Amino acid sequence: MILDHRGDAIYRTAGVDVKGPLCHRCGNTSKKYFYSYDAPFDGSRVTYCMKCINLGRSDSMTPLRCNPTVRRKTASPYTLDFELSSQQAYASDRIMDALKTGRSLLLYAVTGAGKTEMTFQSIEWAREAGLNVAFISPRIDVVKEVHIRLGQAFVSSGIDLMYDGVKQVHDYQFTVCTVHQLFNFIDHFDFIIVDETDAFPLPEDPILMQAIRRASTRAATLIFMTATPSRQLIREVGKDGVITLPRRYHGHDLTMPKMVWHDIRRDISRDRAPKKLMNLIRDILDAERFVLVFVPEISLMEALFKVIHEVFPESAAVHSGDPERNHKVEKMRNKEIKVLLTTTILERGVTFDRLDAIIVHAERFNMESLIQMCGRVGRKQTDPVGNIWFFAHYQTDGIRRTFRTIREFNAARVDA
Amino acid sequence: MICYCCHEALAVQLDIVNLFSKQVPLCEKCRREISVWRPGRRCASCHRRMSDEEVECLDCLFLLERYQPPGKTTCLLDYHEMNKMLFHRYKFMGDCALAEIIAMFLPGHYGEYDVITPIPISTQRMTERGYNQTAMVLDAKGIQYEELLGTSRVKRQSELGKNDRSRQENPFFISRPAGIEGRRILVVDDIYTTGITVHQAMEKLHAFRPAAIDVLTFSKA
Ligand SMILES: [Zn+2]
Ligand SMILES: [Zn+2]
Ligand SMILES: [Zn+2]
Repeated sequence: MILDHRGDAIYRTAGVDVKGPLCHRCGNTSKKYFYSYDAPFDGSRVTYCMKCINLGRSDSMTPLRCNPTVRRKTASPYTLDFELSSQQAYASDRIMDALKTGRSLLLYAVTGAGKTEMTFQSIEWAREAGLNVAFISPRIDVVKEVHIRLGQAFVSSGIDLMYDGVKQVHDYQFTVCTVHQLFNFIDHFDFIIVDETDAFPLPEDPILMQAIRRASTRAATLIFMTATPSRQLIREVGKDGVITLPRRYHGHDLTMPKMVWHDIRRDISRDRAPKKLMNLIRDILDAERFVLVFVPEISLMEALFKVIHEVFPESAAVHSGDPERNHKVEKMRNKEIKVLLTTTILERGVTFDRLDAIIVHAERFNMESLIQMCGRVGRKQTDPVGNIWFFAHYQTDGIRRTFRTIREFNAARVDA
Repeated sequence: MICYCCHEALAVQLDIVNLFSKQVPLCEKCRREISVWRPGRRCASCHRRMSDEEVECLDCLFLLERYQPPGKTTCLLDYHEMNKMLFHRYKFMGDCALAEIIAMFLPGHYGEYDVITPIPISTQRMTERGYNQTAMVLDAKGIQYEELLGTSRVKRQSELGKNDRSRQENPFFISRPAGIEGRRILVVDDIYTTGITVHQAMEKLHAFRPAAIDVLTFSKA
């Protein structure tokens, strides 16, 4: 069923059970996520769940309403104007097998492997069999991009799109949404593809994993796609359910980062320009390339930006709270900006041409982040390699494991 | 405790400073983002961001031809993406914990005024929403106010164009005429869009000859 405040039936007489407390929509039981106040209107005490507030309020006074799940066999042809690589074709067939036999899979794929296309064949089959399909991700930027890509391929299908504040719905039979949106579904989806599984906040938040389970039917096929699988996920699908996809869609190796041992923060705190970094940026621009500079925190980024902007005026800095964020990313795409300083917000989802990457204080990032940042480079067929530099003050486990993972991917052969 | 804005857990640090002060449900990151003012030239009276060609604020000119202006208009927060989202959640999603967050940006003292009065909402809206979004912020700050005005308006203002709004009949009425004459009044509204709402409210108040009227808005769209 689908929880909907205009639904015809009542799922629960109130969304929040004050004793407990428990939110019947998202399963939250943690006291700190409930807020209580005396309603000025009639003085009654109201408690609501802050955890799922973005889906509309679930509270102790209002019933949770719902509509029943509907399945409809729908012809859903797709078009693809290029041929899948042998690795993509292999993965596509494995997903199809998993779907037909009701099993789940983990696609352990390098960034830029072309994961979305591997699901098209199965989605078409599922829709024709009348199965409800969801393509989900914890990240809004991934959700938006996937919705565009699926829309281009499945031209005749109405694909729902849902994330915070956005709700374009056809019939909930072919849906692209954030994981949070699944709180509104119970036993509804038969085929769920979870992209960027490792991305915040899925691993830290067991409630989201519960949401995926509750939204899917008992026999559902779940496909998890990630570049950095957690042990918990591998356990979830079993060893046989893991497929490794070590090559990028264009077949080139992942770029190996180069280490530069240097303490940039120290330069900044002493009002010195970090010479090695400045020279490197100069070289990159001289080669008519572009660069993303990842910085672990906003205050350091702002200080560093001042120094860089003086010498390289075609530069900008973005972070998650920056109202101009999308505008600056657009300028980088149009090549008006050549040096873009960023926090981890741009570690996923973005693709730029002729791009290099510099990671400042790489010792401050974990392996998952480092792998994603490296994955920004060499995504285009026309520029498949690129350069990556790690500036680090000291060696860490995260840096070591990043090098090992990339080396393993590059050494691996396609199982096909 | 969590930040009511981003829902991240707040680290509890007991130092000599916050040992004596109550911990607030807002993280430093959100506080900074909410406080940002986008750069650009602004109208000195309504704080709207003006285009380069505008010599005088067109919104204010429009109002000046039709209504008596307030003494001054104070605006607490810029209406950028972050704050748009914040007010949307607060007003339309029922996330009333955010009243406490908005209240943190309100000044604490209002010695220059005799009466503070919020823009009212209709009984029907009150039944649906359960709270007046403006008054609830004043309550959260512990500010005394008097409800001088009432309204029968139901249709959402955001659904109407500017000319439609001004052509509409004034939807407000005075519910407490005795509290107005000769007093210095602060009218509080949540979001100042075209300014017509607050000017219509002032028009009704002016009829009862207050000493002065100023306006405070939480944000300027
Ligand atoms: Zn909830
Ligand atoms: Zn916060
Ligand atoms: Zn103005």
